[in-house]
Amino acid sequence: MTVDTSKDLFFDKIVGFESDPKISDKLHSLEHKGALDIIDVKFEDAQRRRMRLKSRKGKYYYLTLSRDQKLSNGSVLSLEDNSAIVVRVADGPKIRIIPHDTSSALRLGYFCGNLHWKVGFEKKFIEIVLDGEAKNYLDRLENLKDFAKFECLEVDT
Amino acid sequence: MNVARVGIGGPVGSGKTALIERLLMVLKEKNVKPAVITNDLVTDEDAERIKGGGYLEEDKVLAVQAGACPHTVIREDPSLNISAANYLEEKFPDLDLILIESGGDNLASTFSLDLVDWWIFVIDVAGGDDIPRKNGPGVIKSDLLIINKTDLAPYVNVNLKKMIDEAIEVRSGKDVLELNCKTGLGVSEVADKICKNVLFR
Ligand SMILES: Nc1nc2c(ncn2[C@@H]2O[C@H](COP(=O)(O)OP(=O)(O)O)[C@@H](O)[C@H]2O)c(=O)[nH]1
Ligand SMILES: [Mg+2]
Repeated sequence: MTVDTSKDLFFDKIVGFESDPKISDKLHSLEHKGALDIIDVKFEDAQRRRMRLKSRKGKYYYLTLSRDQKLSNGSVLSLEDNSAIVVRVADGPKIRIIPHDTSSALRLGYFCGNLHWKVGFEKKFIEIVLDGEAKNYLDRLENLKDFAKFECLEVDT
Repeated sequence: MNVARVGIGGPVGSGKTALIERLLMVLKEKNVKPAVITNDLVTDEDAERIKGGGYLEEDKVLAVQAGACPHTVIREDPSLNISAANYLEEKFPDLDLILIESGGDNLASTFSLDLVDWWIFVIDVAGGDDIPRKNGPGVIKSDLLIINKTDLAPYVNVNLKKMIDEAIEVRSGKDVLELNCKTGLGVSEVADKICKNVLFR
């Protein structure tokens, strides 16, 4: 493969966020003019600092972000007078685990930690951020049914 | 801080250090300027070996001691490796690439994308041709799977073709390469993948 190394195809920083009121109007008007291009990034790839990207308009770009930056939904990679490029990261699927009692909750927390799962803590439940198929996680949780009382709910966002 | 960082993981003895030694020679020909970080349990063994080989200026090879399960310093808390990589980037402003070798681990080990941009998992034929179908996260999730020591296949009753087909299948078509570090066969393809995927050349 030959790579086009012309400078404008490289993004080495995030120049803003879509939600920023200072630029959201401008992005809106560019969108109306058809001058806004979107890059869809998979949830599991959003952590990468370097990768090849393809926009909805079919153009290829290269990401070379500095280590202290990370893509998120709404990251703006380019904002010019006549064009802009915004990143979309879909929230990944999750499994919500709702424990029935305190001892089950403790067991579950310990279990998820031992399996190195990424979880978010809420007041009454924890949510596993899935990296791969839900079945891989549900199979493991099945093994815990004798030791803890809980329900699982697949949350597709 | 935006020098490309590539992780190399895989079981003990699969040929991670051997791959790095080979890669350093090929990368030089391709005009890529690398540095290396090795991870060992409680010694600097692999770093010393790479320095001893004279493939790279000695101060471009750093050792990080994991002190515990090797995956802890490439995934759960990669801060030791991140600071080693940052140190190399600051000290050598002309670097293009930092290779990070994980200490030999099990099939579940994966790299945090906070540490690396792209990562390779190295297994070898002598570990058995059933390894790919055991669905280990390292085998499945890595950006490139390498099956090393192809020269040994006839001696360990391994059907290499079948092993590779099964690897491609469990990886849903993601890259799989054959390698022979004894002769160097396949190393240049590995270097090409690195150039294409993180150096964009
Ligand atoms: N026959 C053969 N031996 C190899 C090959 N690659 C590595 N080795 C040997 O396998 C052993 C382990 O290699 P090493 O690079 O230290 O593995 P690591 O633990 O994954 O870093 C060493 O004795 C190497 O010489 C290969 O392709 N063929
Ligand atoms: Mg080694």
